[in-house]
Amino acid sequence: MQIETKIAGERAILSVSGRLDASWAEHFHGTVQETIRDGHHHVRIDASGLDYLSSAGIRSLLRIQRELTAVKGSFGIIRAAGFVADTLRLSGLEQLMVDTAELSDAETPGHADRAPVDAVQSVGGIRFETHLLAAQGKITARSAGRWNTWSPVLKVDAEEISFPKTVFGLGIGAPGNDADAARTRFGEFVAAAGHVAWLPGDGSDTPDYLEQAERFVPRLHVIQSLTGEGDFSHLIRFSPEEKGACLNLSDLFLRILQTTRSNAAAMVGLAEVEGLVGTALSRSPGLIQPSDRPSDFPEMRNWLSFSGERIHRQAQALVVAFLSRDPSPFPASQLSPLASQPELRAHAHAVILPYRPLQQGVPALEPAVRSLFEDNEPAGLLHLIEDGRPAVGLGQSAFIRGACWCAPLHVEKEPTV
Amino acid sequence: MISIRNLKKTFFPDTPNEVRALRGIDLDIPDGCFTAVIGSNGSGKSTLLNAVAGTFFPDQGKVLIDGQDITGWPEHRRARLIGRVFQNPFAGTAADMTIAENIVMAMRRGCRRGLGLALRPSVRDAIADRIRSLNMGLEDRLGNPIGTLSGGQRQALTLLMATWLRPRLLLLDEHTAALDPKSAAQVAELTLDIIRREKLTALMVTHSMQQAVQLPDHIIMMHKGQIVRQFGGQEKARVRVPDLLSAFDQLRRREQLDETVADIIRSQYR
Repeated sequence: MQIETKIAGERAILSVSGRLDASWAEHFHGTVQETIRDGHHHVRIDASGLDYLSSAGIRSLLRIQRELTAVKGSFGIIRAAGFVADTLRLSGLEQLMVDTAELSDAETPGHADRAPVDAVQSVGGIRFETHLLAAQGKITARSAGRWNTWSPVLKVDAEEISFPKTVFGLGIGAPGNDADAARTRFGEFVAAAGHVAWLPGDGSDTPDYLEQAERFVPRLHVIQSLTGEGDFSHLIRFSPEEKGACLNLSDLFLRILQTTRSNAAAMVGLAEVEGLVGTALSRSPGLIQPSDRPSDFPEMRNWLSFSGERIHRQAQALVVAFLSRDPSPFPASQLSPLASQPELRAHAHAVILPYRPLQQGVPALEPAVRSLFEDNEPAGLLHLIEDGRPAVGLGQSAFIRGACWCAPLHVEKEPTV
Repeated sequence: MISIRNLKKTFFPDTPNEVRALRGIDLDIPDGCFTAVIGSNGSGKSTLLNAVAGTFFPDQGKVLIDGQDITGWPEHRRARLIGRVFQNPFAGTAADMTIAENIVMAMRRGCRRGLGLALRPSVRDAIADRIRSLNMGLEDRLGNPIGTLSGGQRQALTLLMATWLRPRLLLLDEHTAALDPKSAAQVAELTLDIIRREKLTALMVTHSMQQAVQLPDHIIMMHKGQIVRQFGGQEKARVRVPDLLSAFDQLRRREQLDETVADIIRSQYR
């Protein structure tokens, strides 16, 4: 199979020749997805060179159509003939075939959907688009759970909180009938837009998740958490202008504080991963005994896992973070100074899912998160850290492109830990 | 029941080449349980099998079969209780002897041997019947030297020989690793058939994650001379190849969490 990509305005035209069958479907889908990742959400397949289409190929076409429809893009097949056209027609998929006349339309598709951009800036090969969502937008932060890191978990440390669509957050917790039932499974969690993903602290590598549906609202017993609720003031979108450019987490944090003109902010981001560096509990802190020393080496290995390398490249991450400049409204126990930007403190968790394109312009957070979890299982969950070791350090997490909803922060109450 | 208690073995002690191959292995294998041992190179899998087979004596610890301590028994004495299939298909048989002669040797393993005729017609018929179950057409070639057979055929016969006397423990040391994929699958299937039919207790070292998932009742994962993870019962029932690969990845990441990383985590993990 040969695929040639031509960009015409907002449209990408992929000329495909050969056979689109089971052995080529995945390659075909990957190639189209590369084009979508580059921001082309109006895709046409020129099928004039395609001489065979199997059901596996059709499934691949429908998958692409579904992904593009979800982000208000468009998809169509042009110049299909012979066997391919017959197969599409007889399969009831005529609507996929579009007239080539549309290619000469003067109007470029998609522009009508685009919200006006309030500011555009290019820094270090990254293009930033800033959209003002609500001039007075503000997030109120609240902490819950009283666990003193590394120490045994006491009954009073746990608190049950719910995560409706309006609340986002991060921390350590687990679902269960009561805190005792959750005790053996406490692990890192990320919550946003009615979805809660957490990594059970039972040695599992696979995060589990709950999503709001009808009257069901996810609830967790948390031993440490930061949650935010309110209106986001800004949406920051970023994408590479140069090949290989990516955005470090600390640079994203600086941009958020600069954009929100605040000393403390919260964010929920959806971003394509360049590489993540982090750690996660591999054993529930609820199992710590008074004689245990989980912060000591090598005992730490029994309690925490380390990413060991930059991982999850090209996957999509849902990131929740709370950040501040000194003096921080948060106690030192909740936000850590960044090695690369010592004046910044942050706490960030990310749940990783397979890549899904994100609608251009100003997408709403809730449908974007819902689409990410639709038919997808989380592949990992990390507490993001910076590895600034000289020579061997993995550096910090970085992203290729993404969208970040953010707002200045009001800390509701002084945490008691 | 096979019981292994605090088994330790260090090769080349107190030299620059010192290798702590077994660092206190504790393992119970119930009767009729088929256990697979997986682990990276040098994790101690084959050393564990050799220690149980009596290839060498451990520095410390015990090996018990049905409560009988066999730790001090030499290898040939253990042969009465233990059947073994090696990775090399040529290792378990005598190439110049016929198929029937090889089988007769296996039938008399651990027994006193006199000067009587070993291969009587009735014995020959019994051998042919048993070999027919392999579905390899070898029952008509009992007089052929075993060296004329393919690796897969030879390994299938080795398996049959190792289990002829229904050993208390069957040791399988990567016994399909040297075979072509089709023969490996055949021998793997045969292994499971024999173990299930004869209700054998077995310990199999394998590098094949697919085999580890499909064949045994229980999986143990070794790393640096220790058992670091076990998959049994319900967990074994749901385990898939990616889960085992993930478990290996967890081990790798565990190694990467060194003192310098611990310092970083301590300063940033809140």
